[in-house]
Amino acid sequence: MSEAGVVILGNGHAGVSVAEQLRRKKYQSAVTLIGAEAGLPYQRPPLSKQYLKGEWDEARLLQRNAEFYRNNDIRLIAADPVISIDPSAHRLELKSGATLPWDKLVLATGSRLQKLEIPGADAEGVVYLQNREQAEALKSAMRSARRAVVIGGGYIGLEGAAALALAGLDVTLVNRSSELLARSASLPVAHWTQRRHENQGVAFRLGEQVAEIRTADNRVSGVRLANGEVLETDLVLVGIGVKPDTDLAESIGLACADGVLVDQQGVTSHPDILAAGDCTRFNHPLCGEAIHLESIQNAVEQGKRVAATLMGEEGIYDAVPWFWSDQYEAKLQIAGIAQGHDLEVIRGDEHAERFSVFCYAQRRLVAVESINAPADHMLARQLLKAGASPLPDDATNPEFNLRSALPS
Amino acid sequence: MVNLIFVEPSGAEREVAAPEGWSLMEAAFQNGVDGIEAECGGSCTCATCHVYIDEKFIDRLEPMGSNEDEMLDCAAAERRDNSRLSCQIEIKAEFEGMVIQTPDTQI
Ligand SMILES: Cc1cc2nc3c(=O)[nH]c(=O)nc-3n(C[C@H](O)[C@H](O)[C@H](O)COP(=O)(O)OP(=O)(O)OC[C@H]3O[C@@H](n4cnc5c(N)ncnc54)[C@H](O)[C@@H]3O)c2cc1C
Repeated sequence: MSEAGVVILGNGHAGVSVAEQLRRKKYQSAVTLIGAEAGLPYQRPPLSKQYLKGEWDEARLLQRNAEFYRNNDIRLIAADPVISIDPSAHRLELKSGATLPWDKLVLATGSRLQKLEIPGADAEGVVYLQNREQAEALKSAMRSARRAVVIGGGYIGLEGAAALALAGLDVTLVNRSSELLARSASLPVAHWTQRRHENQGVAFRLGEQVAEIRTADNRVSGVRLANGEVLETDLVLVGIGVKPDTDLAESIGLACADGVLVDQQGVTSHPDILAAGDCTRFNHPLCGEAIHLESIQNAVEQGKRVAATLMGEEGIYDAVPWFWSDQYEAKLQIAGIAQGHDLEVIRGDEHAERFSVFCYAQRRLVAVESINAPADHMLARQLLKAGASPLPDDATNPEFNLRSALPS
Repeated sequence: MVNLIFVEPSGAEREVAAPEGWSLMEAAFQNGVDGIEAECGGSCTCATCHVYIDEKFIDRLEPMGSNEDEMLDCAAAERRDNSRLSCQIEIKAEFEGMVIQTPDTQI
């Protein structure tokens, strides 16, 4: 292999995971990690949690310190996005004009924000929350605002709403679907989450669309809903989702379908180009159709699989997906993939402080969603990994020890 | 800064200097100490930052909460009397020189 080595395009959670794993596995050639943003790679989840609440500073947000990259001989290129790839010449071009050779290329470009496309959407005071710069802008806007409207009832919108409410703002959350977390959690969990926010004083407009951002001197002054209602506000936080960032992959003709398609080793339709994290779509043994995940677990573990493939190790990517979100002091944890399940049963009391929802598809356990029940969550991950399904009646029986459903 | 010694699964010792107020997990994670996965970034939701604490220091730690206790029961490696989740332990000046052993496996 030449000096070019592995070039990793994108320095988020997946990119850092690939680089670190290659060094742990004693990869001998160069490892280069390229990022569009300035500075060292940082963690995203705290942007809507500890960092937004002002509990963490920038140093604490980092994924690894500067010494780590030096000691491990990982070359960092920051604030210089890749603008084009030439697969036949095995080279890529950076915005600065520099070009770089690669033996193997890893795409870890993550997600692209969905932008609000209504009149007034570019006014001052309309903010998003995907990177550190945006979190910084939101933090400073929060300080002078009294009222906030959050658009979008997914994890980012809800975590943002919690931080805003805790900071003492009057918060109203508008969601197009009539349920929160519509694409990502069961109804008992969605309803629990809504009640928790209502107890904190967050108001909801569910099943409503935003029609216009009202402005005064190009600053936000209100949000008009399609039903005519106007919510006066000083700040609008938009969390209406993300899409896999496939721009560069598509530009060189890699197979994509709302995600860069990769096989179970993490290889794209080009044998020397691999991909990991939010930007991918792949087949998983737990699910009948190709899936796309937006989670730290997937970024880190798919990154590990890609590094293993680059080292010539056999095996497939079959790690059990899991996800967490903080809602105030409560922990929401999800293990598995709840797509297309046909039965939900509840362990514990869905109106109390702690319970889990067990989701089955054709009597097979496919996912478990837990509120403040970390042991259920951990056991669920072990059950799913082992392919074991406790009977639904057992799952709901508090006397039943979930551990006993594990193969011995 | 407080100096800590992490023992990686291979037996290698890694000296790490970390600010007071951070968690033990963060000190290990930012320095890329092998043997600590810390998949959830310190929310006490994954039990992949399980460590064994220096016996000399174990009584000086804040007692564990019920979440941590439950999670430790589900950790991948054997739970011992000196088992803790490193994300739940805030670094204090008096930890100077503490030795923290990582288990063979976290997942
Ligand atoms: C506010 C927030 C909170 C979250 N909370 C949680 C949580 O609690 N739990 C959880 O599991 N997940 C959470 N997530 C999701 C999680 O952060 C993502 O799933 C994860 O970051 C995906 O990792 P990735 O490496 O694929 O992409 P990213 O981490 O998004 O990294 C991709 C990187 O590639 C760079 N890039 C893209 N194109 C180029 C280019 N052409 N040239 C150079 N660089 C490029 C981007 O700038 C970016 O830095 C959260 C996300 C956000 C935004």
